[in-house]
This record gives sequence, structure tokens and C-alpha cells, in this order.
Amino acid sequence: MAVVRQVDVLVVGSGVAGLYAATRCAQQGLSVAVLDKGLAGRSSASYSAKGMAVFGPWSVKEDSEEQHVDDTLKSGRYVNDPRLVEAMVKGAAGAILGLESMGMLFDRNPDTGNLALHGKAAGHAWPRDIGFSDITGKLLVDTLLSQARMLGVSVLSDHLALDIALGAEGVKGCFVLDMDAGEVVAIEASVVVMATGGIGDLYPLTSNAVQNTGDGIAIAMRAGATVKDMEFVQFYPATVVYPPVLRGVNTNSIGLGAQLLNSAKERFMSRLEPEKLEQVTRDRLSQCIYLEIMEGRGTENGGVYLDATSIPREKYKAHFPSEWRLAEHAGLDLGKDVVEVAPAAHYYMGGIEIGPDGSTDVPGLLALGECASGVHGANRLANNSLTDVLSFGKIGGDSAAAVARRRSRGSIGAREVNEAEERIRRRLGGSAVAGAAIAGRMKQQVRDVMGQCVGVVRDARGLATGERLMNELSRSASEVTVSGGMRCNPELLRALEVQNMTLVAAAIIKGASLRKESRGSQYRTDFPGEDAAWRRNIRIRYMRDSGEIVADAGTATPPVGGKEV
Amino acid sequence: MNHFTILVSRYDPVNEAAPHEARYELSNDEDLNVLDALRRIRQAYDGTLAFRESCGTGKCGSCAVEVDGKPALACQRLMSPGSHRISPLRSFPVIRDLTVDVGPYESRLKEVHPYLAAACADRESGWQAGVVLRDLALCTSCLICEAGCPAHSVAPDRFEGPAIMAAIARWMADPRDRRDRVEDASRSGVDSCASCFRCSNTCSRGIDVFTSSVRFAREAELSKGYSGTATDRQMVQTFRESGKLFPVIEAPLSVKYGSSQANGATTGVFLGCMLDVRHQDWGERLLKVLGESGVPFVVPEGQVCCGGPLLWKGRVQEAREAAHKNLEVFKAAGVQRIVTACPGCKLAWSRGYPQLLSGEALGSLQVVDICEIVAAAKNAGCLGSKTVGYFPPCHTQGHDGQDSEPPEILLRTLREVGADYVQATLGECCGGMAASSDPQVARKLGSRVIERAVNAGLDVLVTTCPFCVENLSRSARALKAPLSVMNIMEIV
Repeated sequence: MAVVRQVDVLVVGSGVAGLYAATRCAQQGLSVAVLDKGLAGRSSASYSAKGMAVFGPWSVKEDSEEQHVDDTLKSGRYVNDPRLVEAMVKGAAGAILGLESMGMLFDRNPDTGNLALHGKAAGHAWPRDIGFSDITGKLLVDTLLSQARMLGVSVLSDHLALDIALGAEGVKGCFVLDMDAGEVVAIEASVVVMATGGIGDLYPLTSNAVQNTGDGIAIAMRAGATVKDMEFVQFYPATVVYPPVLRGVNTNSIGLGAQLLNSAKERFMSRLEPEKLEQVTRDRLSQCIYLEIMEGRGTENGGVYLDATSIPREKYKAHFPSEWRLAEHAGLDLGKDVVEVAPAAHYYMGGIEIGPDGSTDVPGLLALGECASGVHGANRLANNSLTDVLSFGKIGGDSAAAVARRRSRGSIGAREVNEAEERIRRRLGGSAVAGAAIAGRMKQQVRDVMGQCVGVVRDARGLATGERLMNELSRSASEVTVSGGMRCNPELLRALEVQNMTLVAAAIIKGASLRKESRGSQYRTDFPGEDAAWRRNIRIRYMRDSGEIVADAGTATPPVGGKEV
Repeated sequence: MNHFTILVSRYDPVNEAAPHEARYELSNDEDLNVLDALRRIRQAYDGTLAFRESCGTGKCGSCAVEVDGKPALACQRLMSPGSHRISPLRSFPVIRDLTVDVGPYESRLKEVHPYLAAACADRESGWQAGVVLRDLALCTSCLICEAGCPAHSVAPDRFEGPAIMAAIARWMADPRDRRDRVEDASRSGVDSCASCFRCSNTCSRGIDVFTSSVRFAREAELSKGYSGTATDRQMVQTFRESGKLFPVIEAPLSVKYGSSQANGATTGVFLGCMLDVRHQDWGERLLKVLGESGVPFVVPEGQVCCGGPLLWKGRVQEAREAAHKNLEVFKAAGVQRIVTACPGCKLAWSRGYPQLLSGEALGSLQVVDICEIVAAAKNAGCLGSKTVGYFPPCHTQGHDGQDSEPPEILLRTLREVGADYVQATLGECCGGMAASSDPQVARKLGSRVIERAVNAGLDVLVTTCPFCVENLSRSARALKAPLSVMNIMEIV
């Protein structure tokens, strides 16, 4: 039986961007639902973010919004959309106003009463990092989630968005798998807001949650939205691979002077970067660690040793209290014990193309935060991810509300819902004899291909192999059937995720192959330099009829907003 | 290569009448992380095995399950080789296998308005979040504490549990908030918590949940003029008059044997109210066995209640006075080691005093339990043909929330006298610390332990905490259970 529900605004994803947008809409009297395929709030990338860069009354007097814009463009190697960068920088201070009256906590300077500046992160001309301890992202999610619930937003955990319901005039709503009930539901909405976060789970090692499979990007692609900058994946250089209890935790001790050692206990950075040692940019550090491992000098767990024992315990604890607590809880003493680290997929600059109001080229579809593209260009500046989600959460929420008032709510027919449900049912009936996780294994294969062929260091040969393997995986993904039923079935969830992952992966490989240069997070050994002719964006569209993806590499644009450095 | 047998609770409540256990075998070089184990089971045996996971690194609190009956985050718990049982968090409806529905918790949470209740705009007066707020801001609502709370599990109608308490206290500690959170705390049963510290010891983010929520809320209640139950008031009154929690009828042992001269002894005996005035026979035995063991000791005179029960009930001022007094008396006697026969006193000294006075208050003073220094029990003959079990007092829990093992001296003695020692899971917390504020919760917790002990076929239940002995004896009498509860002091 077809189940159809109605809201004015449907938000997919419950990180800061999605929740902020939801509260803005609810405050304006609109009915709002927020979906999350895991537990609401917890599976978001925002949850683990430590601080955010915001220019405001607390800034040093030499600093300015223009400077923050310039720093962001420079980090993005000038392929950011300058309109979006301005919107982010100029919207941020306003976006944090009002958060405190929702219960948000900020560290304050006791003398001035102003928000406290935590310090100057790499790439910023001036200190701009504000927040609360090292749990700013978590508190933002907590605050906005409690506010959303208070405002009567319907927050739905265990709900997986499947596809946009499209009509002649654009978005009509969304088909959703209610995994607890085991049924497909159609949610009619005037506006659908994609806020599904990153794609870290496309890689074998990631600091993201397992939910970050790029669903929103894939759904938008299938609905005809343009995506761009798909090749730009930011890797965090030193994420724990061993011990398993801390696998996926980003370590911060390098900034405090920790050293990297290979399997022969050699401080290899003294060979690769004799002057700066470990204190090079994140990208360079990722490349060095990655190459050291690839050349066979990694540990048996696929990492290198991170030795933080020279850092006084009190200093470590004071700078990164929750990291310390986490390790302590896992029975590790970071003042004594050495962990193993490797570069991990951390943040995604690519995604759905948006305008400064969060709109996409599909009427009624908005995209916000990490699943959208254009803000961070080829590489995100440290501490700018929360800045992005706050600014665009607010901007996008207001524009979603405006669009919702203007657009009439679509109507989804029973036949369409039944067809959507049928598409899911076709996935069932797989053999339980093979028993083991067929879809789960495919997911792992996608991750392995991405790690080997489209990782930190890329070249034409690897990318060609990646393309071929991903094509095969994509074909199997579209045909795979799994055991078990519709209700709370992780195999079904994975089968659906793998389909999204292979689509996004194909676009990443396409972009990485086309871009014959190294820029920002993309490093190609066959094109190691940055090429001014490539100061442009690669846009990709999915052709529904043929199932092909088509790329447009555009033309080079002169740098905007500040002098190129 | 190590071998693991993992028994996982499987359940599809729509199609099955009851959960069943499925058995999976895994191998690994070292200890196995529970989340890894579940992922490997899913990969190798059955892709449809349902469990929650998200960040995998202990930050998000999604993957709480029970491992061998103890709530834990799957990603943070290591299993040693052997057989282990993984089941869903108890007291939540199962959606499938290990995935539970947290909806009922969220509904209860809604009742306490878990958001800033204030009409003010941004407050820019430079206020800083205090210790409690900083501690509770880390909470991820993983619900391990909720599932593991003894008082909440026997009396959910009387005590809403530590997760709800933490939510209330988070806003109570926020100076911007204008709601009467004390009323929320009272209504949610803050006085019914049995102060067992399980929530603090098991918190996945290392939050001292009990101190930051329950104790904090109790302090707030008192500061608003609430005066506790009649028994509580009586207790404080008695403390004010005599320095003890219980009325002094005979002269306290610390007066009878007390001295301000250590005469070279480096060990000082801290009797605690139970042994000093209420069960002086146990106190006499403590002094006797210490004497027999050849350890030179002194009973510093002027010692008062350890202050623990006062502190845990939110009576911080009285507790601090007690801590001051005791420290002064023991330092004056010049001892280096303090021996006690009450885990509650030991906990107050070792965990409470540094909070009440300062981190360095104890200096190099060591606090040990009598069981750690006595070599042999000489009066255990009466246990000869009995079936004996051990009840682990909450206040001897490890910092990871694991129950204490029976003292070596008990096991050795039982072997020597030919008693039959039975290892049984008797339920967490006897309820003793709730006896003065919520007798109903104390009774329910005590009865649960006694019932399990009887079912395990025990004749005698031995424990090391005088408060446990009292409450469990009371429950055994009420249930007319064919079993006696003994303090280890009675057999040493």
C-alpha cells in the first residue's frame, strides 16, 4: 500500500547544515521533516569538527572579511566560486548570532566578554578559530537538534532517502525507505534540501562516519542536477589505522611536534623534507606518508608510526582534551604509546553545484554543506567546514522557506510510490546460502579501488584502471540481489549505498582523469605542477536515458577576489 | 592465533516470538574489538545481522550494545579470547537483532525540556562554562549509563536514570537557563539514585555522570531549601551532633582505643561510622586481626564520618568539614597508610577528598582495605560445608565499571575450610545507599540480589561492605530467604 506524507520542506541529512536549515524553516511556520539513515545527528561529519573560522567582533584588528575570503580562495587554488566564498565568510558571524540563545556554548575571553580566539590555523592570515573546547561541531549538532525538536520538526532516524520524485516542474518530493517499518514512503514537499555530507566512506580509511557514502550527491545526479569539482577529495594526513579501537581518529599531535617514523623507525620526513620535516602542508604530508607506505616502508597495518611521546602529557591534554580522553578510554597513554597512522579521506570539496542561495539547477532542489560544491575549490582551508555549514545552513534555510512559499507542493501518485517500492523489492530474494554479505563485499571493493586508483597520489594509468574496475562494480551493483527483507536489513542498505557510491566514484574518476594537472588536493605524479590553463571547473551530469556521465571541462577563468599567490 | 566464540542475540520481532542466540567463530591475533567482530560476522556469516554503527571511534555513541551482560560501546570494547555474548541494550525495544528503538527514551527526554529555556538574547557578559557544564557537554546520549543503571532497571517509575539526569543537569548548570530544573530533577527521582557510580565508571566519554548530574542536582535541591527525607535529616542532625551518621550509644571505638600518638606506627585505622558505632563487633575484629598480623597501628582519635554518604547526597558542606577533620587527625598522627574495612569510606577518601579539598590533599597517604593486608581468615570454620558466594560492593568497582573479584583471602579461606564457592552473577548494587532516601528502591535492589543468590543455591553470601551487609540482610529477612549474609570481618 502506497504511503504518502506531506511537508513543506524535506531536509535529507541531520548535520549542522540540514538542522540549521530545518530550524529556519520551522521558525517561519513551515512544516519540516529531517531524515537521517542512522541516528539523527550522530552520523554527521559536523559531529566531530573541532572549531570554526569566523571573522567577527572578536577578530584581531588587522583581520577583515576580505582577508578571510582571500585565504579561502588561495587554499582552494582559485577554482572556488567567489560568490559562494563571500556568502560563507559574510554570513558566518550572523549565523552564529542567535545560536547562544538556543543554548550553544562558546569559549569566551573573560576580559572582553567576546568569543575567544583559539589560535591561528594553517592557511589563515590571522587567528579566526572560535568555538567550544574541541567539541564545537558536536555542540552545534546537539543545540540545533534540540531546537529543531522543540520547534516541532519531525526528525526521522533510520530513514534512507532513495530518489527525488520528479515532475514536469521539478521536485515533487522524495521516495524514502523507512528502515524500521520496512516500507517505502513518499514524502511530498515543496522543497527538498540535500544536506547529506561527505563521501569519506568511498575510501578504505576515513575519518568520516560509515554513513558518508555520497547518497545526496548521487540522488541529485539522478534527478538531473549538475555536479562539479568531483576530483577534489581532501585527505587528513595522520588518521589512526592501529590500534583498531582508534581507527579513523584524526590525530593532532603533529602540530605539537610529534614525529613520523617508518617501519625501520626512520624519521622519513628528514629525508623527504629536510627543512620543514613534519611541519609541511597537510597535502604534502599526506603525499609523503602515502608514498612511504606505497614504497613498502609502512607498518603491517598499512600505516607509519606516530610518536608523540616527546610532547608533555599536560600540553597534549590541554590542546586536545577529547582526543586525549578517547585514547585514555581505549587504554592508551599517548605520552608513552605509539599509534600507527595513514592518510584518510576527510573532507569532500566536490558535489552538487549550487548558487549563493543554495539552489541547484533542478527546481525545488537545494543543496547545502559538504554535499554541495564551489565553496572550498580544490582544497578546503582548515576550520572552514563548520563556517560553511553554518552560513549555508542559515542562508539555505531562508531560501528554502522562500521557495517553499512560492512553489506549490507536488503530488506523488500511488503508482509512482509502488514503482519506487518495486525498485527496492527487485533487490531482494538473493541467495542466503552465499549468506555472507554480498553487498557489503561490493562496498569494500569500491573502497579498495578508490584507495588504490584515486587516492592521495594519482596518475593516468591508475585512473584508467580505476575507471574500468568501477564500471564493472557499477554494473554488478545495479544487478545485485541480497538476502533478507525490507525491514532493518543492512545488506539492503549496503546494496542501495553501493549504487550511489559507484555513481559518485565514476564522477570522481572522470574529473580526476580529465584534470591533467595537480591542484589543491589533487596530486598527479604524471602532471605534478599546477597549470594556469586548468583554473576552471569540471562539471558533470548524469544522463538518465543512457546511464552515462558526461563531463564539461569549461574554460579557464581569471582569478577573482584577490591576487593569486 | 586467538579464537573467539561469539554468541549474538538475533531477533526479528515482527516474525519471531522471541530472540535466539546465533553462534559465530572468529580468529584474531590479539584481543578483538566488538565492533570489528560484528562487522566480520556480518561479512563472513550473515550480511543481514543488524547493529548500529557510525563514527567507529567512540565519539558519536551510536553503537551501544551489551557485551557479556554489560552495556558498552561496541567500538570501544575489546574482548579477550574465549566465548562472549553480545546482546541489545536491555530495557529498549528491539527493532532487529542488536538495533534498538531509542524512541521511548526520546519521549521521556522531551518531558524535561532538553533545550535552553530563556527569553534572553546572546549573553555577552564573558561568563565561562563551569566544570559540570563542560563535563556534561561531552554526553552523546549513547545510553550505556541508562541501560546499566541498577536503580533505574528495578524501579523505572521511581528513577528516570542517569541519562535523563545528565540532560536535566546540563541545563541546570547553564546560567542562562530560566526553567526550574530542580523541580524536573525531583520529579525524575534524583533522590532514588543509589549512588553506585556505575554511570560514571562506564561512561563512554569519561564523564563523571553521577557527580555532574545526580550529586549536582541534589546540591541544587538542598540550596533551594529542600531538606530530604526524615531519615536523611536525622542523619545530618546526628552528624552535626556527634560527627557520626548513626546515634552513638556505646562509646565509639575510636574514642575507646583512640590515641593521638602513633608511637612509630605508620598505619592508621579509619573505622567509619558502621564499625565505629553501629557494628562495634566488626570494628573490634578489625583491630584484633590487625594486631594479630603484627602491623603496628594507631586509631587516631577525633576521627569522624568519612563524609561519603553526605557528599553523595549533595551535602557538600558537611562532607567537606568531615574531610578536613579526618585529614587533620590522620596527618597529625603522622601515619602513611590508612586501613579501612568499608569500601564506601575508602572511596570517599580516595575519590571524594581530592574533589572536596584539592587534588593533592592526600599527599602520599595510601588508603587500603583490610582484605589487602590480612593474610588468613581464622574464623571461617562455620563455612565448612556451606555453599558460599561473593557479592561485589559497588564501591569496589574498577574504574571501567567491572565488578570486583572476591578478595584472594576469601577464596583461599573457603578452599581451606572445604566450602563450596559458587561464582554467580548476583545483580549490580544492593541498594544500600538508597536506604535512607528511597527505601522502596533499596528494597527492590536488595531483593533482586537475594533472589539471585537463592537461585544460585547459596547458603551464605559474603561481602566486604558493611552497608551491603545491612541492606542485603534486611532483604533476606523480608524475603525469608534460606541464606545468611556475612561481612568478611566476621570470618577473618
